[in-house]
Amino acid sequence: MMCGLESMNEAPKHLATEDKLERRVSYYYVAFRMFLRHKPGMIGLFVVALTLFSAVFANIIAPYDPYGLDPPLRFRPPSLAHLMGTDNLGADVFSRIIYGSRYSLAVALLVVTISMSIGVTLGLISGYYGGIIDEIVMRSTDAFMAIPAFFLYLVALSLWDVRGVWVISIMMGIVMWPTFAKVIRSEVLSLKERPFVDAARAMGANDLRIITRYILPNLWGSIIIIASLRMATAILTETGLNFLGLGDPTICSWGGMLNRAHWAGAQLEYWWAPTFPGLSITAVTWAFNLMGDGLRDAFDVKSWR
Amino acid sequence: MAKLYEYIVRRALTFIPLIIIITLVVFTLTHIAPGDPMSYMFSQMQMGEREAELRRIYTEKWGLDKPIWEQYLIWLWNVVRGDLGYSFHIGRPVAELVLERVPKTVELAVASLFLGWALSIPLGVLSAVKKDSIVDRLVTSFSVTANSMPTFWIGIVMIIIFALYLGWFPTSGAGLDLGVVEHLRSLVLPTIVLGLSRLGMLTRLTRNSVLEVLNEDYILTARAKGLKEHVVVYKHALRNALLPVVTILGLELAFVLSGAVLVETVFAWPGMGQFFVISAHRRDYPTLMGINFMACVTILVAMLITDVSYALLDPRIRY
Repeated sequence: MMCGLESMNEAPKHLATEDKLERRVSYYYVAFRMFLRHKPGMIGLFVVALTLFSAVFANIIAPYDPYGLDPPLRFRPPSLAHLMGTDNLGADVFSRIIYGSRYSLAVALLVVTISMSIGVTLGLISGYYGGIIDEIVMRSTDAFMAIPAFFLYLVALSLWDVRGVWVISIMMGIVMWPTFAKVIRSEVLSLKERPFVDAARAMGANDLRIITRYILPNLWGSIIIIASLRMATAILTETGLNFLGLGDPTICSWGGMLNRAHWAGAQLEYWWAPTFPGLSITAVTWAFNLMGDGLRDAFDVKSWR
Repeated sequence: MAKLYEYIVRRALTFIPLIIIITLVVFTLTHIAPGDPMSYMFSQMQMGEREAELRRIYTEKWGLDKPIWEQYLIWLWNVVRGDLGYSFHIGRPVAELVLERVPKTVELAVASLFLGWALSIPLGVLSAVKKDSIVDRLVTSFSVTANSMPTFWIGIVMIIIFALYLGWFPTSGAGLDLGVVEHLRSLVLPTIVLGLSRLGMLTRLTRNSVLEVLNEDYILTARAKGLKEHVVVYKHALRNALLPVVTILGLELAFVLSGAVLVETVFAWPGMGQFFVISAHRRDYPTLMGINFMACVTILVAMLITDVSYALLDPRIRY
């Protein structure tokens, strides 16, 4: 975005040959400015940044060892020493929440990266080439959408003993790609009919060059919107799986904390153990949703007028 | 109508390869996973000669010594003949076990979908008609928030507040043997939780759909004719705007089925989702495959119904 800012300020000095590049930069620049003015979107961005900060600096922020068990300190209500109380095993809830953000963000990022790579690639290919390739890709998206996804995760994760971050992320990534593929495909369908694609072809650009240099740069807006909204879905699904006890039990996760709190029973007497992890999940998911909506509004050319 | 009939048959035929691929994936995943039903069953026993003999007999009886592809073909052939096999653990036909639990899940799903619709349509219409007002902002923020809360957590919070603290509703369980009133009381909390999880999305869909229709030319015409605003909205706009909301029922069903797994676990609701979680722990292959197969067919049929209802409700769409 910095380079966008500079080139906007220096616009008159630019040569005519850079006109195409200029307009492209300014499209994202305007969207960026629109996003900065979008209040809910900025709130979302702020919460996401805060979570990212706590995930990166977890070992500095967390006052206690999240894995440290201290049985005499079980079921302590929130106090100055333990901001969010302690759970049924005597671990500090606040520290566990700080460390849990690492897990949730890592899984969500991996899931979105994997599903984005598969989905965008397949969407580009099927939209650009059409015909039999398109048919195959679109039928596979139907197939993937018909999979009772949660049942599939359950089968895989409850039967396999290896449940690290990677296993969950790869599984969810593979299941979640169709959303990307469908949206990208429909945009490519209309983009490839535009004059600049014809012009590129007339200049002798091959398919690969047209796709990567002329079509893909127009899609970043859509990609970043879906990615943000999918982060929210990924976090909800991941915490759900961890709640069912299907995550890695040795890693601190928000879903795992809820699982522990739920099965420890007597929830009324120690309401803080289930309340705070749930609030964290809600806050982060909510932030990604707000950010996605904000980006959608910012990239919506119609709203610029 | 003949065309539509043809379309349904054509779509239904494409289900066959889809179902084969999906069940093959699930079958392979379950069968190559470490741990087997034998280890679960015999885990409580001392392994003597008699147990080893039993184990051998059962392995052979259930065909677990055959290669996976052969086991899959046998399973598939039995399904074609309408036989989902016997549960390893309970020893009764899977179809029977599943059908016993389906009504509970359907009851929960229908109740929560009904709740979702009953609330989201008025809310969505209201916020679209009063676009950019305070009401619209409130409804929109509510729907984003509802969309962001994990169902199982709302469940836990509801249990704490309404079951443990206030004592209005039971924390878990269901069953008509407790009496109709008691059963309905236990239905309340799971329904609200599952309904709330869909409410955000449905409200947003209604709002967008109404907004889109309100921009159409014929609405402008209706307004230009001098019709009253409520006539324009409720007679002209709503009919078309509600199309996508009603027809999404099929896809909603898929979400509700997934959500039911979590909600049923939280509330110990004796439906399919809870049964599935238990069966996965027991490595009860036929039951797992049976539930997966039924869920898969349900979702595909629901998707087909979605498309067909669209065609029936909207005369512009022809197949």
